[in-house]
Amino acid sequence: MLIVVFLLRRLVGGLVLLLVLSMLVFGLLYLSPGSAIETLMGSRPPTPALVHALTLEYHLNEPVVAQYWHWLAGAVHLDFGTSISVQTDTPVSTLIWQHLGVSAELALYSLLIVAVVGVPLGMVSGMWRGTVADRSVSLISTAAVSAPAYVSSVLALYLFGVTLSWFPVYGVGSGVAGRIGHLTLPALTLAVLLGAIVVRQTRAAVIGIVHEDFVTFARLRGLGTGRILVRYTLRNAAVPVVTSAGLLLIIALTAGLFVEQVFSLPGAGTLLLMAVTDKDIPTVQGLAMALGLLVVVVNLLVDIAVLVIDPRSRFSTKVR
Amino acid sequence: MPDRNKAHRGARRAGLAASASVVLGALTLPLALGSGASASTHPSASSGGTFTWALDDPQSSLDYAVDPEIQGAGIVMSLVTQPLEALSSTNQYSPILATSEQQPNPTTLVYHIRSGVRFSNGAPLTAADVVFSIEHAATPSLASATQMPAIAAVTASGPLTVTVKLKAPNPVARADIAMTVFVQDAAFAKAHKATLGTPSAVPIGTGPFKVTSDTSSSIKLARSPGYWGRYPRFSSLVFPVITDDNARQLALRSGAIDGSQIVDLKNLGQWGSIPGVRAYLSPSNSLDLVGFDVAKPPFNDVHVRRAIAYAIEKQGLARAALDNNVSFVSGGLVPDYEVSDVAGSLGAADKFISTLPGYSYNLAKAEAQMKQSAYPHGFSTTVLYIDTIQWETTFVLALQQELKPLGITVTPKPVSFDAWFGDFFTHKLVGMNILTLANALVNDPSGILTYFVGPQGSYNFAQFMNPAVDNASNVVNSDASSARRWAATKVILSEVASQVPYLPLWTEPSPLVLKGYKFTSSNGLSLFDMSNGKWIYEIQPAS
Repeated sequence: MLIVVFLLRRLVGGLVLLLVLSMLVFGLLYLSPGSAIETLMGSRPPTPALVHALTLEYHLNEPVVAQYWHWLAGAVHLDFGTSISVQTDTPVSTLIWQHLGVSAELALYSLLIVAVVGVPLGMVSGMWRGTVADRSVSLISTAAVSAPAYVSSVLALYLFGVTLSWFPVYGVGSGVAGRIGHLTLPALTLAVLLGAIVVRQTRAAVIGIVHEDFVTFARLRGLGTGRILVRYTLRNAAVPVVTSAGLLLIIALTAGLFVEQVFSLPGAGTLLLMAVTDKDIPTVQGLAMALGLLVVVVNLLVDIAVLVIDPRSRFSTKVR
Repeated sequence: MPDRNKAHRGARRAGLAASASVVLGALTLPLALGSGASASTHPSASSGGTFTWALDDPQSSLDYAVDPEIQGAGIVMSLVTQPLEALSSTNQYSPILATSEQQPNPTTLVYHIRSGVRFSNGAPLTAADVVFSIEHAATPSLASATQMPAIAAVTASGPLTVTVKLKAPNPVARADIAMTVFVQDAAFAKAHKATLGTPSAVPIGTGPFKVTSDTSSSIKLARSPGYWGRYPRFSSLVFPVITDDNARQLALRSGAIDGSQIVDLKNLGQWGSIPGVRAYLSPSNSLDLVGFDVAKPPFNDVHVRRAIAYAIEKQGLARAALDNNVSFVSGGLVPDYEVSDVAGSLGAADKFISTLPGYSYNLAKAEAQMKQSAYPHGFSTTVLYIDTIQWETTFVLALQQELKPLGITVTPKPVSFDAWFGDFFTHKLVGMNILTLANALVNDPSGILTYFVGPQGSYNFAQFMNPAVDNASNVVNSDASSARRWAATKVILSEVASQVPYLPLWTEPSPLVLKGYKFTSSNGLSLFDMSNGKWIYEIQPAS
């Protein structure tokens, strides 16, 4: 019961956060240079008919509070208006759905690679600290986390796309196989960056655990290395790793901008860049809210995951 | 005709994505090859194959009236929705959907529409479709309206005849309509009024291709069955959107794309060094200039303006800012070919322009002019520059150094594109300013020259007006007589050259590349061919 209360409390906190974010996002319209109507007209000719239509659509003839209320009511129903310039007259929610989907696929694909490669590497590195394997993994992960995403993307594209012709050089492809083929190189590139963080996190967590008494006792009981790694070390090291994985998903969705640009993927990062460049305020507002919602949801899921993985966290929840 | 939307797009490309002008060349020779109308002149085209041309920007709409950017929606949709006529860089017209055009009086244009033409959905082309398309392009709320003449009425005066009544005589009305109106199926457009141009309602046209896919990452075209003319050599076209300049270069290197526009002129050499790639510098109308607010001190002093004109070393600046990939403009305000039609010939235009002061770099003359001014010891001024337009940044820093000997202290101040152009269009700019502008859609003095002068000049950020120039501007914009228009043009050019409200710098060419293919013209593609669908006929295998 207390866990439910804890989760409800987190949920309410998230909603409050979204409400504050919505006020900031709504304020974008008024923070832009020029009047709200000028911003909403974009590059369209300022005819009386257009001014009138926009005034009615965005309730600009009403007090700001009323305008915010109308906007919020629409936002709750995922109605953020229509795009001004990114894709004129297309509903912003449609644009977000199309672009966020690509980013989500890329992010999940990257995280899958990170989970399959990064976590084991981090464990190996932590278990055999100070060995050649540890030093090699540390060196590679340090280099990977230091390389700017843009540079590593161009390098990967040149090496594997142009020189070796192993992967397509642009776009998302069509069909499941086409999509996987087109997303593999960008996902690998993103995974190198994210994986380096996970490797370091896992290594640090494992180092703290391998010297715990229960691991030593497990060894004394004659348990195999694999079982000790999975049942004892991994489970106990999982909490910081899962917490960081949640953050990484958000980073992958937002900081994947450079990767999306270089690989010409129409993802959320690309959409945000276009919307900001074109001063497409409704799209910027909608996308900012969508990403904010995603952060709240992912954090909530991480909290739940931690409760499931580590029974001690349930106890600490009760204590609080 | 220039407009805010196009200028915005131009600068957006020029700045945020790197550099480049929107508008393509005017100097290329009129190309005989082209649309189905001139099908018999086409080279023997082998059927099949896909041609891939990368776009550097996603299209906000495939309705050209909404997004009238020639190298964006124009290059794609001119193959789907066709214009009535094709206009060449020398102001010659060739028929496409209109077999002929008549002007019974200065305010009336009559188009005779080609018979037997069908849209890609099988519907026949009628006068009603043309009426709708002209009215659609002239809809005030759409961006294309700024490129259209003032129209009083458009009527179907016969089953295949359309009459356009102008509100006032306009010597370039025919050209504006040729460049701006893409004919589409009226019934489809009306049925999809709210979503026309979006992926769910791509306009239906009469061209050799139809759109089969429109996504954020690419636009795909396939041959339209039953096309009335001769098909281009390719059976399908793909326009992938690759916004990153490096990624586009790598895509060309790998053979994933066949051609593209280069965004940053300074990278031309890099692109041209890719094995198998041919780089083209298509001459352009895209004019860069410096302007002075002649209404306020210190730039209300003509000697100050002349001193600065003499002190700017254009050649050095062009080398530093644009790797010398420019065509210099001197003597007046616009390139000679933009006034050659009213002059009677390019030679006549050049002969007159050569008599005007050109203000070549001469520090002694600059200092002499400064001594004659009210500011012999100089002054301080702030020069705004759009920080996302790379050449402007280089230019203003060099300018700072070049004006030091005159005692003029320049303080560069970066501003956003929107802030600068917001002040530009409302004539709120003060002092000395740098302008990067996508330019005239028609080679005529009313295409851009008169925009910069007189009370009606929408680009007159120098506030340059006097009775002689104002009257001359009216004559250029409305008189039917070429002789009178040329005389008036000479008045404007002379006044601008003498009073220096603007100092023209150069036009920026439009760089294009092809791999495995070549253009039939060594000049690449002209703006005009890109806007009427002829461009696809200009591409042939390199071998």
